Amino acid sequence: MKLKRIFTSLAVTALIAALAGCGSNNAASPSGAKAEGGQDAYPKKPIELIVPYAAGGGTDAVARAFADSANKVLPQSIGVVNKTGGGGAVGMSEGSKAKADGYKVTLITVEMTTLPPLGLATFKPEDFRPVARLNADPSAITVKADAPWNTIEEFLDYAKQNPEKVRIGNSGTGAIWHLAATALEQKIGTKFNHIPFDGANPAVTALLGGHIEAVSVSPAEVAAQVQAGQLKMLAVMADERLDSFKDVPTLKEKGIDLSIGTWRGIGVPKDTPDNVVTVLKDVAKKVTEDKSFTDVLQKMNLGVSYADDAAFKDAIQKDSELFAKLVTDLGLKK
Amino acid sequence: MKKVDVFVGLALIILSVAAWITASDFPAVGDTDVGAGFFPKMIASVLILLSLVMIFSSFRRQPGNEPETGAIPWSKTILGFILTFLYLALVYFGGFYISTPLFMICFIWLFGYRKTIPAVAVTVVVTLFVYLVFEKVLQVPLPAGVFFE
Amino acid sequence: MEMLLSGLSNIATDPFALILSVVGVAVGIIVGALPGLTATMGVALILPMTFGMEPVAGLLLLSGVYFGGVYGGSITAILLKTPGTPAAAATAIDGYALAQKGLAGKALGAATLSSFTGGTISILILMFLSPVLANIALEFSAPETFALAVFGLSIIASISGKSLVKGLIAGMVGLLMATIGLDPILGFPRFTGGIEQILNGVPFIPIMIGLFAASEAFKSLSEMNAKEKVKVKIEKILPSWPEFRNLIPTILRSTGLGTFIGIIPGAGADIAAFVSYNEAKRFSKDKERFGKGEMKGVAACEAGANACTGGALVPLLTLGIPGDAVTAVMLGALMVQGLQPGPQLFSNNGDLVYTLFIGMIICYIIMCLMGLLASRYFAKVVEIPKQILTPIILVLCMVGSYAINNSFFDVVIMAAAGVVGYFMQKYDFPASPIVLALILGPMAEGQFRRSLALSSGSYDIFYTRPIPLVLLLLSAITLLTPIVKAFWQQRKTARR
Repeated sequence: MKLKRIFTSLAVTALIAALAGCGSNNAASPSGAKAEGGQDAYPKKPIELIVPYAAGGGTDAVARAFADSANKVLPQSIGVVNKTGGGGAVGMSEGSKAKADGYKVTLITVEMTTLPPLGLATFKPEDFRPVARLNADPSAITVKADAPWNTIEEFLDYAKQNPEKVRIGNSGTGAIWHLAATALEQKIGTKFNHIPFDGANPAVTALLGGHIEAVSVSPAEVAAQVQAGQLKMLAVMADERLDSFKDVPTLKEKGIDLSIGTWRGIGVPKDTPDNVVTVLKDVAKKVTEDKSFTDVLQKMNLGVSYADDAAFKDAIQKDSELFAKLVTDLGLKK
Repeated sequence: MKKVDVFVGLALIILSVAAWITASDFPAVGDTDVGAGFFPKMIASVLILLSLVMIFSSFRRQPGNEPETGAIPWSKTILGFILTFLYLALVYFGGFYISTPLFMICFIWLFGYRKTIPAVAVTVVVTLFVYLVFEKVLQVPLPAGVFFE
Repeated sequence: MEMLLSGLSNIATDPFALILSVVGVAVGIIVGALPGLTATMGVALILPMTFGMEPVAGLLLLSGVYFGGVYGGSITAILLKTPGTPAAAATAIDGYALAQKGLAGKALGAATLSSFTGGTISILILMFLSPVLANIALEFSAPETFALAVFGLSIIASISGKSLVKGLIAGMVGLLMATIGLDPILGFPRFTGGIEQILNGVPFIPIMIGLFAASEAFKSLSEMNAKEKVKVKIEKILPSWPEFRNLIPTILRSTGLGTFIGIIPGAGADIAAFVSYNEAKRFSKDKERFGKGEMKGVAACEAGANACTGGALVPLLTLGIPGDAVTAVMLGALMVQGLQPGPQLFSNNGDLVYTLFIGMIICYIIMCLMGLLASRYFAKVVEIPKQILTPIILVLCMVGSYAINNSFFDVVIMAAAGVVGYFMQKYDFPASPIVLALILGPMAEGQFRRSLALSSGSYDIFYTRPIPLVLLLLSAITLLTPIVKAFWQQRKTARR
């Protein structure tokens, strides 16, 4: 039994070495250190995609759809591995500390920029080299359909006149939707009564039941009830209106310069060589243009939003600064 | 009285007091919330109370009422513990596929089961079953071992 | 009615969907039976495979895994005291006691029939009463859910086993452990010592595996005797009619409770199983038999847990809100199939929805048949020599706790819980209160503090609303009855 395994692994090693020999002139070093000189060698073996959230969730869906589409264009397969815990901290921390050879890439999310200032992570946003953004969803202010406010102005006026009266549900203290709501109250100069829930769905349930006045979660999480006419979306915190909710204005249109939301993308450890990033970036671009990928996201009401490494890096930088300031202002740092 | 009950009770009281002290530094923000320390402190207090009840009732109980636990072959238990922890360590370093057959064969042999064919068959079947269910059907990776990563 | 008939004919003419239901149920039972792999995880992991399938086929595959997963946990719980799912931790209490009496086959049979009855009735309720019941989900705000959690915790008193004090202590230790990690309102890390892995709380499933399965394996170490040959006669699997008739009130009561608890957001099969167990005991004339091998204990847990499936689908399909982790994954599955759950689902896709309902009932029938056929062979597991069974259980404990988060940290936690659980057994500290406390502790604290946030700090919210008031009073009765009784008994013996 054991002997057989050794033989098998020897055979496999020999095979890999032989295959590697075709690509580069140094057959004996599959570790990648030498292969950096030999341009197009990456990827030579399957790639592991770390997902910092549990199987079955939105982030997992994006990751698996990405892997499926990427497998069509990559010579090697991408395997999804869920490393959950710490609200994303465990998976992203492992991803940031991985060997910088491009065989362990991470599905990074906006929590990459919120966990460090909250003092809940052992990594820094700078530990990652962003490769490409795949998806982005803004925060949306949603109220019950029979609520007295029909526009975002009416809602915000009421909130200004009645500080701490408007109960606004979010997916947890320090989570992105909480930060979005606090950024909004700072901008307009009032106070909400923030009610943290254990995820976005319970917050939406409480809104449906009339136990709170509004939620600040993403459009995807309220889409079903908005389409059914039970809830109404008053505004989104995006740069432009969403394709799926053309009638809903952005806060920017209303003169409030605020654009906050979640995003998901591919990241690698910061010392990863350029050739690897180039390959992955191209793959990500092709994936976001692939119909099977966009279909999955569309059906789940998630927004496809590609950004290349440079643009993604800028966006992350902006978010990092914004959230670091917000967290300090709110005294949320642990 | 049962010595174990007294010992466990005292240990729990120490633990609860430690938890209580740690929890009193937890923040409470705003005037509507009871704060992060409220529940841990409350639970710790009840635990102290219950531990005291257990300690006192163990003094009150009549001796001889409890059946003696003795007569346990400790050697086998200790052997089993050691084997299990060696196995877990081996999985961590060497991965699932090397450690599992080794552990199972050793275990079965050391605990006195001496029919070679069923022992090997069970080992192979279990390893294969786990491989199929986890890696193939559910596509959950099994520990590869830090040596091979 | 027309919808139902067309649904029936749709299913009958779709052999692929039927085959997938069978596959789904089989995978579900295996996933459920293995420690660590829960129904949620099974559904989540099978989900990507359904992306390319037709809606009915894909969704029935997932339903099969879901139903099979909830039921499968009972098999290992009864035979090996290794609950595959948290809900089965309740089944293990009486199921394992029955197996030790040599009644493993009959316990498995009763579990199968109860799961089938509970599940099927709950799907029928889902089919006909969804619109009426969906509003219950919306009535349950923070104070209601808090009261439900407290009620669940009061059950600790009735599952304490030999010593009430030790049961309560185990429960309190569980509650204290449940406070580890980020606190539910402020997000402050409590007792974490900077360990990222426990920021979201101690890993619950590895602890459960350790306390039940690993500790039982450790216990059997000292019972190994090469010569001893356990010969268990596998009696009939199907309970006799009088035996089953005796279980019917329990099964029906548990089905009602399970469906109701399933509808409530945030409460799932685990809570349903424990509550059903407690009520079965409350209504029984022979309370002493519970915990020592009472068939009603098994039937209650299984009917309650499986009835939860139909209940949990009520708010999901009618309102588009998932009440627990499994239905959250099912929500994604429906959406990927282009079905938007919510009030419009029934009007837009009525035909498909009723086809699904019929398919779900078929899944339950398949599960029942498979369970009854296989129970005969499953029951033989108890004949396997301990020298072979014990290492298998230990291997499965390791793999199961690793697979949840792909983390070796969880394996270490499992092993530690196993050692602690071993000594707990030895000194009569029951393990199930810890499991119950770990499930309900975070819920109780989070909802309590959320209630106060909603009411701006006023405690009126807990007693001015009918549901919390009733539930809190019931909890007080459940908790105090055994305590008063124990106190009385002590007085009596002291006087003698």
